[in-house]
Order: sequence, then C-alpha cells, then structure tokens
Amino acid sequence: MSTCRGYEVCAKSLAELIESSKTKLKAATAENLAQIVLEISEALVSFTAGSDPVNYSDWDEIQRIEQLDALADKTRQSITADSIESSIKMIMDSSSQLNQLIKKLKSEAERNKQSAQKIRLKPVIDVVDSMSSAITKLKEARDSLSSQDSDKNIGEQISSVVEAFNGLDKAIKAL
Amino acid sequence: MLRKPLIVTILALSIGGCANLPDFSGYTTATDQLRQSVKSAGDAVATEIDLTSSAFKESGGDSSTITRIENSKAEFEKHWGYRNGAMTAVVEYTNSLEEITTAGKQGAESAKAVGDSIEGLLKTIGVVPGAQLAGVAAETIEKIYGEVAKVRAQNSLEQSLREAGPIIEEIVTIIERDTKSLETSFEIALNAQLSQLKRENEPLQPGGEREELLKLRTYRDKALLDELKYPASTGHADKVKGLMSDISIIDNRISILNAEWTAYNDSFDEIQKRRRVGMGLIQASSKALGAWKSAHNKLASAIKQKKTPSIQEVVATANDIQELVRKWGEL
Repeated sequence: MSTCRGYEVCAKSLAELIESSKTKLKAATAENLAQIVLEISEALVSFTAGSDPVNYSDWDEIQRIEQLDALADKTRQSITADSIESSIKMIMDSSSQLNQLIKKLKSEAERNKQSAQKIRLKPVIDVVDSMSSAITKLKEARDSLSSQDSDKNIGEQISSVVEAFNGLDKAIKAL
Repeated sequence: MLRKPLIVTILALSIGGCANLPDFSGYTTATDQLRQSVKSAGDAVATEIDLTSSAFKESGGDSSTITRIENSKAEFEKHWGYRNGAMTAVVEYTNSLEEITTAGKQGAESAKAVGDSIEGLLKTIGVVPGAQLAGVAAETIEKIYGEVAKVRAQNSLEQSLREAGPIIEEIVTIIERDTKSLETSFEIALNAQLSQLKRENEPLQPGGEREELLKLRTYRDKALLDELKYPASTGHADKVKGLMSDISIIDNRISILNAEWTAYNDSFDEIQKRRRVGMGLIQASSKALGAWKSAHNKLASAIKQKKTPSIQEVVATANDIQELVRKWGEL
C-alpha cells in the first residue's frame, strides 16, 4: 500500500500516478494490456487506501482527500472501460472479413448438399418417377376421352398431365 | 444367365476401383462441440463485462463510464455473434461432407431405388414383356450405381476440401486469434471486479485497519500481561481496567471486520473460480481451434490419398472442452 499524508502531497502523488498510467497504457500491446491495466488499477486502489489527511479533525482536508480518492476511482473505472473497448475493437476489426468467408463457406456447404443429392441419385429417381406418373396420367386421360364426353373432366385430366410434366421438367433441370 | 454378372463386373471395373470413404461422424460431433465452446467462451466474457458494469454501478461509478462498458458489451455480443455464425457455418459444412460420404456409402440403396423406379417405368409403359428383364435391369443398375456413388462421393469430397480448405483455414485462424482478445477482455473485466472489491474493502487489505487492529490487539494483550505480572506501584487497577476496555473495543471492531472478511473472501474466491473455469474454457477453445484446423488439413490429404483420416486429436480436445462448457454452465 502506497501512502501519502495531506492534500498537497496526495494530489501530487495522484497526478504522477495518472501521468505514468497514461504512458504505460500508450506503450501497451495486445499481449500485455490486461497486465498493465491490472497494475494501474492496483496502484490506484492502493492510493485510495493509503491517502490520509495530516489532521483527522480537519473536516475540510478530509473532504478534499476524499475528492482525490473519487478521482482515483473514476480514473480506474475509466481505464477499465477504455481497455475493454480497445480489446473488443480488435475482435470487431475482422468481422467483415469473417462475414465474407461465412458466405463462401455456406455456398460450399450448399453445393455439397446438392452433390450428396445427386450421389443419392435423387434426381434420377425423381425423373423416372415423374415419367411413370406422366405416363399413367396420359393413359388415364386417353381412357377418359374414349369413355366420357365431359369437357370438364378432360380438362382436369389434362391439367394433371401438365403438372406431371412440370415435375419432370424440374427433375431434369436438377440433374 | 452368365451375361448379367459379366456386364456388372465389366462396368464396375471401368469405373475405376473402390473408393475408400471416411467416417465423419466423430468429426462432425467434435466440430459441434467446438462451436459450443466458442459460444460459451463468448458468453463468459459477456457475463464478466456485465458484472463489471454492475460492480461499478453499485459503487456509484460515473454513469458515462458505465454506459461505455454496457455499449462495449452490446458491441461484443454482436460481433461475437458473427463468430458463432461462422462456427455454425463450419458445422454445416462438416455436416455436408458427412452427407456426401453417407450418400456415397448408401449408393447401393439409392441405386436400388433407381432400379425399382426404372422397373416400375418399364412396366408402366408396358414395352417390356414380362418382369424378368425389368428385374435384371434393376439389379444391374443397383450394382453399378453403387460403385458410381462411391466414386462420385470421393471426387466431391476431394473437390470440396480443396476449395473450402483455404476458407476454413482463414475462418478458424481469425477466431483463434480472436480468442486472444477474448482472453484480454476477460482478464480486464475480472481484474476490474477484483480491484473494485478491494477498494470497497480497504480495511481488510494488507496494511489496512484489520491488520492494524490485530497488531494493536497483540500489543494490548502483551501490555495487560506485563501489567498483571509486574503490577505498577501506582494506578495498577486503572491500567488493567483501561487495557481491558481497549481490548474489548478492539475485539468488537475486529469481530465486525471478521464478518466482512468472510464475505470478502467468498466474493474473492467466487471471482477467482470464474477466472479459472472461464480462462480454461477460452484457452481450451483456442487449442481446440488449432487442433481442428490441423485435423481438417489431415482430412483433406487423407481423402486425396484415399486413406482413412485420423481425427482422434480433435475428438479428444472436443471431449475436454465439453467438460469445461459444462462447468461454466454450472457457475
């Protein structure tokens, strides 16, 4: 615990402490920032613990010493805020680069999924299934034409055929 | 009857031999555990920043400083969210590799489905007399496409690992580097809480009131003992009374400070416990990211050389961090 007695002595001591803290922080690197902030914080806490008035019955001096303690606290908390900001800024700096990479990786994963689908021969199965379905519908349409005269029914059957061929078209495109 | 197996054999040989597809299941699980640890490491930092601003607020700290810390936390959460997103993308990518492998391994089943569909088609059209030829077609397709699927999977894996390799490498390197900043933020936040705790408990610090009172108590004890052993010729009773009164006042104050001392130590230990687990989590995540990156490189070369990749290291690291994630969750 560093000690000082009397407002004048303590004020000078605090001014020197803040000055040296600024110098240390300026020279800090990403690797030693946490350690330097810790040393400064400990020194400021030590200052508040060891700052005493010359005369304990001098209320005015006690108040002025308390003001110095409050300044030391404010400085310590402010340095904490500064250093948290700067360490987070290092993280923020690479975010846009990271977001670009995420997009690329996502598209690569999407391509893999499509490859997996093709390997599973899903498009082939879909094509064949669509063809079977289309042929069945066509047969049904033909049968309905020969047995019934209802235009409405024919229309519906033809729609089914078109739908089946649309499915076929999509499946072929997916190949 | 000899024609069928002969055709199958010739076609299978022409595909180019059997592909050796790796087992990705351990790797994808490990990657997901890594994603969770990266997220938990970020959560740990956000929690400590939050606790720091609360500690400053309770001490009546400057509102603009507290706002700055709160804003930093919000910014941090937003940007660490991108890391979580990146890790999710890495997991999705790894899953997609597993999907390719599974598709390759299940090639025979897929081929059977194709065979069945073609068989159905032939029957629908009605151009195939009888089911026998349709059945032969289905079986042939099943066998040939089973191999085709494996070869296609092998090629797709090679291509994907070749193309995504540099992207993955860069993502993991960035997050690995970020864990250093994470460590710094975590340390700063925890140290700030410790400093604040010390500031609020000045009488309990070395050289503080408690220590001074304990010293004074020893002096008074000694003085009382001396007075009892070698009574003063005048005013002995008053001296004893005075010393006993001093000791009683000192004891009362020490008893108050001792209660504060217990609470102080509990808070101190709690912060240190969070430091151990949180720092362990951040450092293990960093190590795991490195192991994952190296495993991914090995994976790419193993697939290229048609060998089974070794992913034991990354699985082991993932198991370690899973325990740390659990511990952090319990705090």
